[in-house]
Amino acid sequence: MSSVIGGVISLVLLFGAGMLLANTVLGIGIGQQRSLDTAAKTSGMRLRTSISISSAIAVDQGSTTGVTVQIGNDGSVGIIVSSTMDVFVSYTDTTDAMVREYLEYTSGAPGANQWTLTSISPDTFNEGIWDSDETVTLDLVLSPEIKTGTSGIVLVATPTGITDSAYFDAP
Amino acid sequence: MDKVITTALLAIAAVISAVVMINVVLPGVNKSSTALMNANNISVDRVKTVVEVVYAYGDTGTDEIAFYVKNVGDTTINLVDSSEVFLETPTTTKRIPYGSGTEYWTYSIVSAGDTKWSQRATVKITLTLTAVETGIHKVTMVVPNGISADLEFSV
Repeated sequence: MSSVIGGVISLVLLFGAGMLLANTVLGIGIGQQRSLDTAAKTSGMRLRTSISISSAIAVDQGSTTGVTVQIGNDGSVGIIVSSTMDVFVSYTDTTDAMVREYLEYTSGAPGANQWTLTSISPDTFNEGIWDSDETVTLDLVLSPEIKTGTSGIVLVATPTGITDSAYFDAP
Repeated sequence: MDKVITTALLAIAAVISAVVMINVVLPGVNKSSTALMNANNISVDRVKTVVEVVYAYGDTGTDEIAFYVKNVGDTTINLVDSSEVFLETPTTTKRIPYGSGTEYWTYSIVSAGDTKWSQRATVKITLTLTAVETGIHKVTMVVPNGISADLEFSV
């Protein structure tokens, strides 16, 4: 009788411990699988993203310099142009100082040291999204203005951190 | 009668032994389970964290180096000031501490509308140094969970 009671209790104990461990291992497995899946998707997005700046042209705007940048999406995923993209410029100003600025995104007309999306061309598929083989035009406003006879550089980073850069000549 | 008493005593002893075993084994299993789950959470966080240094430059006039790091992973990175920053110059390699001292780094989140280093946000790391040499440099940032990114650039 005593051995039966002890045996039953031990079996219950073993069963409980086994259930707890199995639950833990299952939870770990599911969590790992989900995070690896997410990481694989993110990594895949980055591998399929590629941009190429086709032109960067500066125009004199008085005390500021406007730069129009055209960038082609030569990857295979669409990109949403927004504040999650980064635009950097580096140039020499009229006082011979080196200027390095992170330009802030704006959805309206850009002010000093801001940039905006002007157009996506063509935009017949997935309107508003910068799809593969489409070209975006960004307008930048640099302050102070760039020194005449010099060149500056613009670097653009997509939301997934893929970058391209190009030189532009002072107007 | 004797047999009944003996059986009862043995039964009581068996129950007490089983209870003692439960009190010893179950907490241990529970602790192991918790430790495994915690280790898994840390591992999951590391898998989801990806950062990329997108731009860097140095200024020999102000003795500053700045670089921009983008969070391209799937999680918000907290405790940015607990990150590690290393600088390789043409002549030396050094760890730059955060906040204060002779040489230190500070940060600011430059992405509009972001107060945390969330997904797709960019931080600017500014290194205040005693001197900035010309030549090829390399900056490395290691975020609190050990994920790192680096970029070589020229001053």
